[in-house]
Amino acid sequence: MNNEKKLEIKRIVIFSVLSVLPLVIAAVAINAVYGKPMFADGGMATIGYVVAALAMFAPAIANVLTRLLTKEGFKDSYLALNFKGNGRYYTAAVLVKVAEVAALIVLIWLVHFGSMGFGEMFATDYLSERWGTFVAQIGFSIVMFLPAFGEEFGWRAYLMPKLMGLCGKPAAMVIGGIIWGLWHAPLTVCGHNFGVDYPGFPWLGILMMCLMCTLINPFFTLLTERTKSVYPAAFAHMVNNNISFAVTLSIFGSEAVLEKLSEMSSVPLFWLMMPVLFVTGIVSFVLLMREDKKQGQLS
Amino acid sequence: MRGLLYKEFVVMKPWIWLLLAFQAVVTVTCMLTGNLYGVGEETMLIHGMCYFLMFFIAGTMNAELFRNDEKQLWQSFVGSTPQGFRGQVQSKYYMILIVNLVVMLTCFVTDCAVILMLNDMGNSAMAIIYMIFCVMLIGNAIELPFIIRFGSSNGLNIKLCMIILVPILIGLYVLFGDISMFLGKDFLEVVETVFSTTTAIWIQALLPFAAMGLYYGSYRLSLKLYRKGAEVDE
Repeated sequence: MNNEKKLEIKRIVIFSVLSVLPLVIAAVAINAVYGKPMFADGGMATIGYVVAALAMFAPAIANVLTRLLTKEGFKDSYLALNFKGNGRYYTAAVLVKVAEVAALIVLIWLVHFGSMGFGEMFATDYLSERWGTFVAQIGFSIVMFLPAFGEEFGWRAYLMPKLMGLCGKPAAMVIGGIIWGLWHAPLTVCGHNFGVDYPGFPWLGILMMCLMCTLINPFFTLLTERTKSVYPAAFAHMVNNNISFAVTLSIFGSEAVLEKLSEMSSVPLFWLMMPVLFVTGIVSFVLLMREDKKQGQLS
Repeated sequence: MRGLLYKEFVVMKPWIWLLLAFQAVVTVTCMLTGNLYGVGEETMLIHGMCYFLMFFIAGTMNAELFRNDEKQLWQSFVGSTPQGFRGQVQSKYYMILIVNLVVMLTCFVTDCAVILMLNDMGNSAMAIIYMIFCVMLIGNAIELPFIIRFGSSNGLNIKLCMIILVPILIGLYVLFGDISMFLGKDFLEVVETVFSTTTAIWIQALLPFAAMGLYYGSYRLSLKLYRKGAEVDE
């Protein structure tokens, strides 16, 4: 292994430790003070929200600190907008995530609500207001992209290029997804995403987060690599977080559907998401690899 | 571009420090008022006004940002750089966007601190911060071409006219418009009524897209106006 490779591995290790450390400290400290996980019940929802929101900036700070500590400089920072000629990627960042939610709602209907007609899943009154709220939610996600920028500036603008340089794109997608998923582990242990009362808590939750992050990773990496900019991935990430199927159904869903959904565990719903994310992940991965092939043919 | 942006940061350093100092004041004010009034609409209203002030002060930087570069010598020099006039205008638009995003970020952190102190998510003013950001972006989109075409001092006068125009329009609506739905309500109830109408929901929904579109359109217009503005300064 040459010195350059060793240095890159050192940078990845420093970056990963700096990214996860604040979250681990916060989770342990809050657990010690309150004697229960942050997301165990609604009473600590505010603390959970604030910790999760602020923790999203940790990878961005880790990116800057690692560059300073290892005297790397700020070359290839992916901070330019590069909007010209890349408008379709900016548009895809939002539309693909919205399409994923639409596909997931169809899947949920097929698996859990087959007894009722598809149209019965949705409320029929105040339609203009509901659509207005949905569009506002998308607009809000785009404008308030900074927390997602915090994550993307770390994962896609720093970690992924390094991993792809070290071990090639296929391995980088998996390793990057697992690191990203493990970063969520302190939150998952505190009950974020899946709660605390599912079988296999918390190990199953950590595994599920790793799987989900591995499947989402290719799409976000594709957006970042094609535009050489971190912003499309940040927009997609924020839309992904804010326009979940639960949020969409809470806007459009009929009362019967909302009642039934509130009784369901998040784990089976998570597994329903997997085929949808798998399709996006595979298509994005193929598109990423095609770029390599083209470059290979050119050279 | 990086060099031009760096230059803007160096030139505007005192203003940026001032802005950060003011943010500290806003944070303390929000924490104190949150502690004093507790969870409720009054607290949110005060915090909304504090955040608006933050964005407003950031907006006063705009004229200053251009004043430094209005000398003919600088304009001739920047025209000879690889980035040219396009880079000069682009750097201004980037700088203003970055400053507004930083203000949004600091307001977001303040908001997190406040809701943590009050232990109430319902008291989050994020929606207000988001609306102010969009409105300010639209304001900047209108103001910047005027500054570029007529110079910073005239641009500032036009901004003042814009600010005066808003209360005049509201006053005209109160005098001649339909205000039956607001009668017998206090200020907070009026705000709630205005924002819960279908039209208002759609305005909120389309506001960010309009703001981004206008800001980009304003940049394109400013590119065309920049050289004419340079001739006026001569």
